[in-house]
Amino acid sequence: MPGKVLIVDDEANIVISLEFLMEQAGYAVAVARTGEEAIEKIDSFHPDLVLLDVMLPGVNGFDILQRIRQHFTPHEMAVVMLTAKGREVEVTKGLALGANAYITKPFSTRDLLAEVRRYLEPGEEHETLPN
Amino acid sequence: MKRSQISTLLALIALSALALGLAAGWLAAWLAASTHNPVLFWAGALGILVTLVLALRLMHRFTRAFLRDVRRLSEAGRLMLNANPAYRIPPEGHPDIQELTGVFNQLGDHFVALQQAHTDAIQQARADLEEERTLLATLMAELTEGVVVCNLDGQILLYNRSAHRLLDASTQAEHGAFVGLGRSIFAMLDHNTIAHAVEQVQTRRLRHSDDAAAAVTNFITTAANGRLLRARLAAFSAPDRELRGYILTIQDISEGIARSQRRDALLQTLTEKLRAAVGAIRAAIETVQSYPEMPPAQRQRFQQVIHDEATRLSTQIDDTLRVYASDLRAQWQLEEIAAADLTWAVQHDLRQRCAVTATGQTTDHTLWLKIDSYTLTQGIAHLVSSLQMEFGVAEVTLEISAVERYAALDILWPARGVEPARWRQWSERAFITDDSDGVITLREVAERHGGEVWFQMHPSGAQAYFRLLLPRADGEGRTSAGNGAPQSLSGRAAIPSRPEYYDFDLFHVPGQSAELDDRPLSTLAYTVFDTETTGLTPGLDEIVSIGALRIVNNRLLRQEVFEQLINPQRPIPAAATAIHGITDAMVRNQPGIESVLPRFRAFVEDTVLVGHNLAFDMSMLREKEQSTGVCFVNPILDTLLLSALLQPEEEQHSLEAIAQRLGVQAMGRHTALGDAIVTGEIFLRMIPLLQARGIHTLRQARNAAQQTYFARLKY
Repeated sequence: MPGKVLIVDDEANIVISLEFLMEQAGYAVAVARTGEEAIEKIDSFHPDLVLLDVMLPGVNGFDILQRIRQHFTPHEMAVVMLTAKGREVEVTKGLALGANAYITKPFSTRDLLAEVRRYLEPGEEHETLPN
Repeated sequence: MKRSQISTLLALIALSALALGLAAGWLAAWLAASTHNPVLFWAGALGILVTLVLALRLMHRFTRAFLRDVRRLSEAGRLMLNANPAYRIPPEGHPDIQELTGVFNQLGDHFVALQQAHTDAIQQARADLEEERTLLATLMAELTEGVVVCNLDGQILLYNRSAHRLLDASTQAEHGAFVGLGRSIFAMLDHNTIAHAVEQVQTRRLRHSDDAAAAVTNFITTAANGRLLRARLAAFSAPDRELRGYILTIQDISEGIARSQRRDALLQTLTEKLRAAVGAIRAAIETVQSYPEMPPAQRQRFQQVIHDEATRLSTQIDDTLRVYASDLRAQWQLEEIAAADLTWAVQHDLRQRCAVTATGQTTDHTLWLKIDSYTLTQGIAHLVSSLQMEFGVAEVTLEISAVERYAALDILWPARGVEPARWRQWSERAFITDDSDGVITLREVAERHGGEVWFQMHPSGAQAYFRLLLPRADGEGRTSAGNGAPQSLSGRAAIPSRPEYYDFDLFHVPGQSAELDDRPLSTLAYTVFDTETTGLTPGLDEIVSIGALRIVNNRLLRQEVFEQLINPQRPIPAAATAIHGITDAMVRNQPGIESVLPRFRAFVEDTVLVGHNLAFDMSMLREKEQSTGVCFVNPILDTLLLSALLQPEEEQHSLEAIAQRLGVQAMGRHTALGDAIVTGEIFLRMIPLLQARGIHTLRQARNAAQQTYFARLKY
């Protein structure tokens, strides 16, 4: 069962790739470019998984994560942090706040997709990306 | 016949004459009564009257000669003995008293001669010691690290110029601590930190008694002035191994810490920016690779992403390197160099490196610069080689001259044959470098030195030059006195050439915290001060200047002065200016009393205030209590009252008169600091005079002073 993915990132250039990848994988995709927009889309779009950047204009990624976890369990709404903040302490913080995974940029698209599938299609035999 | 016998005979004759006169008068009166002869009666009465007048005159001369003059003599004798051996008593009064005065003065001469011989011998003996002390003081002054020696109470016994610079907070905050002999180190450094370090050293000494390294500990602390300091505390002990005090060596590490913080921030931002851009590029490339069948328009979008992100990445790297350039380079230290030496060094370097002849002209041989000579020679070499390559210039001229607070280094070359516009174009390019190639341009040289650089053409077009403004070294670095210390108004106060930055006798002086009133006068710390004002009416007039200095361990510390002009916020009357020389123009840009008094209170902390006619100065200060909230609760001693107490027979108790009597040279009078210095010298000479009268403690001195006539005058 394909799911719904919300991409939250203010960097347009990475959003292009993410959007394309998720659509190709068969997911319904929505994009938010600010924290406020993300909060709004979470309510309206009700995604199964959020790809969440930490550094956003306005409300930051950690704040959004906290809001999500007030209403949804990691099982109900998966959050994959996708960020340039790679310090160990920040990874720890993200996971402690309830992120399902913490991926630092630059990342392998293959790994990312595998991670997304792990949460959206558990138990299924995941096909790999075409080469 | 002996003189004493003559005196007795004369006295007998006088008494007989008196008795005879009285008897004759009485006889005349008796005869007049019995013969009813009024003429005879009046003659008798007149006789008695004349005799009585004569007797009174005799009595007066006797009293003056043997009571008043003797008292005057004994006062003067005490003065000669205790304070001013050069004082000579003017011969006055009865011939016997005059003779006695002569004997006193002769004794005085003899005493002075003996004292001189004594002083010479002592001076001779002290010469070696003094030489060593000067050497120590010079060594201390030259150290770049701050050195402070304290006794176990935390009283400062020695400090050097660097320590003053690192610890002083008096110019920073209104209540900031002053560094000074006898002052407490705990006003500048945290008490607990020092106590902990001392304890550590003590424990280690107990455990490793023979290990010298055990007596040392290192720590980092923040000074009260906000500087972050690395300190090293070394204990030192008496021959009996008992701990006597400690030496603190301090270094400022604020700058180093700030630099490494900036480097951290740089790494942080660089990493994050790189990650984001590389993330976008990688995602795009991998997507394109994963979906080779994607439509060309889609592929085009991804290629655009890759291009944009790669461009952004290189701009970011350039920007970051430019902003943080100075932090990324090794820490460079400025050194002092004479202009002539610098010229020589640059000439030598150009000849070696570019085979360019550099003629030098440095006319000012007193000019010193404070520079990083490596960076400077690199910058000049880069410029000159570029000149040589592009225009074939084979000879340049170097000139260094003083321009206001800076040293101007001019690099000139013949510019004929090339269009001025082309020179300008080239000069713009000469400032631009690629950060990666390690070339140093003159602009960077200027930035690193906090200076400036510009290109100029001679109006004739015959010569072009770069002018580089660099810092001069004749500021705090090379002058010996008063570095960081409050500045003297115009050097009027006689400041000795060798700074009095140490006093090891303070090891024996108890802390100032003990009850002051019962402490001996000679062990107290004093602040001698004076004010200059717009007039003599407290409440109406204002203070325009305060001058003060301290007496610690019986020494007037001329190096630790407080001297401040104050804007009275009202015109200074010409009559007042005539006295102290302070004009409206001089105080225009000076602080107001409300910001000066808190600093002054910090300066006088824990001392007894001393001044001449203090009642006036104190009432001027008290007038400001309400508006400034600054109260002076220190005990006070007034040299006017003390003089009246010590020499009640003298009529003159002005500062000049007392100075003259006590053999103090009154220099720099009628400036607040000048008067404070004279008052301080006078007070120091009064202490033994007071002791000779049985006045030893502060309480005794204050009580005795209050009994004098002047104490009853009110302002």
